[in-house]
Amino acid sequence: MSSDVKFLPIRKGLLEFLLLKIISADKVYVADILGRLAGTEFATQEGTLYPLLSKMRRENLVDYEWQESESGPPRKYYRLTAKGRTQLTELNDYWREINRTVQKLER
Amino acid sequence: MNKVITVNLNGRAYQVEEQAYESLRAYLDEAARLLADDPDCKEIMADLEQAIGDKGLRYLGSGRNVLGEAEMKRILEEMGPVETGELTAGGGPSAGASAGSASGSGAAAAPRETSGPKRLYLIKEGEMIAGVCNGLAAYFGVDPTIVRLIFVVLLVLSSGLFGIAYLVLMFVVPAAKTPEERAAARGLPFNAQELVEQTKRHYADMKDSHQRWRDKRRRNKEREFWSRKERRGYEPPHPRPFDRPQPGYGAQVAAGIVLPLIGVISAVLTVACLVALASLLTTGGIIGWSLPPDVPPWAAILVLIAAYAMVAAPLRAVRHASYEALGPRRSWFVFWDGVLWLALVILAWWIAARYVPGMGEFFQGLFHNWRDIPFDIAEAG
Repeated sequence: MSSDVKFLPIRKGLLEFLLLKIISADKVYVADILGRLAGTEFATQEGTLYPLLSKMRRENLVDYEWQESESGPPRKYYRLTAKGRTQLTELNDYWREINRTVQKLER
Repeated sequence: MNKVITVNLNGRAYQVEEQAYESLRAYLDEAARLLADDPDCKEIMADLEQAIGDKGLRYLGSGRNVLGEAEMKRILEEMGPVETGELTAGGGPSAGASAGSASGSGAAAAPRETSGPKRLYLIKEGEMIAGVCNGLAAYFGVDPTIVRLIFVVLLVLSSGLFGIAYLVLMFVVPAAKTPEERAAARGLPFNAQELVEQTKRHYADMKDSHQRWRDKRRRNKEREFWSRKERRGYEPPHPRPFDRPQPGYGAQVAAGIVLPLIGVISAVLTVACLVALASLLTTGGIIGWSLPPDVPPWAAILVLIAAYAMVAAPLRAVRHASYEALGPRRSWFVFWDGVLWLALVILAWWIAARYVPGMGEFFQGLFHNWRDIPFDIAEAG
């Protein structure tokens, strides 16, 4: 069902929204993000996530800082910028609006 | 026995078997090719290498220090194909939404600043004329009725000058079309550039609606053309260019009842409006009631016309819907409906003049006073 090609654009379009949501909670690194998405319809892989995150950084929605980890090399920890937070609020509103429309049409 | 190759993944050395190396190399080459246009290509490549290395570490240690083909395959499967394209070009869901509303003009290319100032929009939900008051109400966070009342009061006090302000706002302020715009309908957009864009867009919209009207006319003509041919025994091509669902019998009967009724109502309304208008022009008041001295007649006339338009608009809508329901015989019916309406107007006028007390004298007075009108207007203005 969820692998249907028709749903692909929906998932793709929503992925950025979900990333903003996940990153807004705490500063996270990529494995955290993947872990949160794993097992959902939005399960994502590094090959998709890194380009998307770097695009979002270019758009000044997220920023990262390097942090040493106990095991292995330092990691990039992502967090939202002020602009990212505004965008998230807008997307939340928009999402609610969409839901309302869908529900209205179901009646 | 397999040959082992040492690779450098983001500054860290890993030992991999030859075949594993081949697939790793293919993956990274493909990634580099796909990301060639990405401004952050180098950084993303580093991230990917890092991630592959991290995943590799899971299989290493405790006596193993070489990654085999099977492990590499699993790692690369976990990584998934590198995707860019749509995600970079199409933007997120918000970019798509705002592009939809802005019809390819300059505003679409530069998506709205997310943290921008509050904006003023026309709001078309429940508007009276063009949604200016509605939009202002949203902007100031008050009830639209209050804004409308204030507006009418200002209109009267300013001798109608505010009517011009309304018209200007109507053309200059964009209409809120998307939910985000409605949500953002709380602030002024204005810089000169945007002002020009808006005005242009409104003009284009007007042209659009004119185009739609012309299309509709053309469709109707086409339909008549084919039905004439049909009557002469000509079989029209299938599917017919004008095919639309034909209204049911019930709808046609309802339209037949509704139309004359609407005709009577709108005829009475028209006569009432004309009488009020004439009375305003000649006596400076509406029949018994006279205007306050500081309100110029032309402002009152504007208000009267607006009021008439407001009442007549729904009637007209019902009428057009009924025409639509009549199906193929509509052109005949529309003609006779027009004649009926005209007859009703004359009849209503006649009845009013004859049977409503005072009306007869009033009408006669009208024609006597008619000559003075230009002077009246000049004095008032």
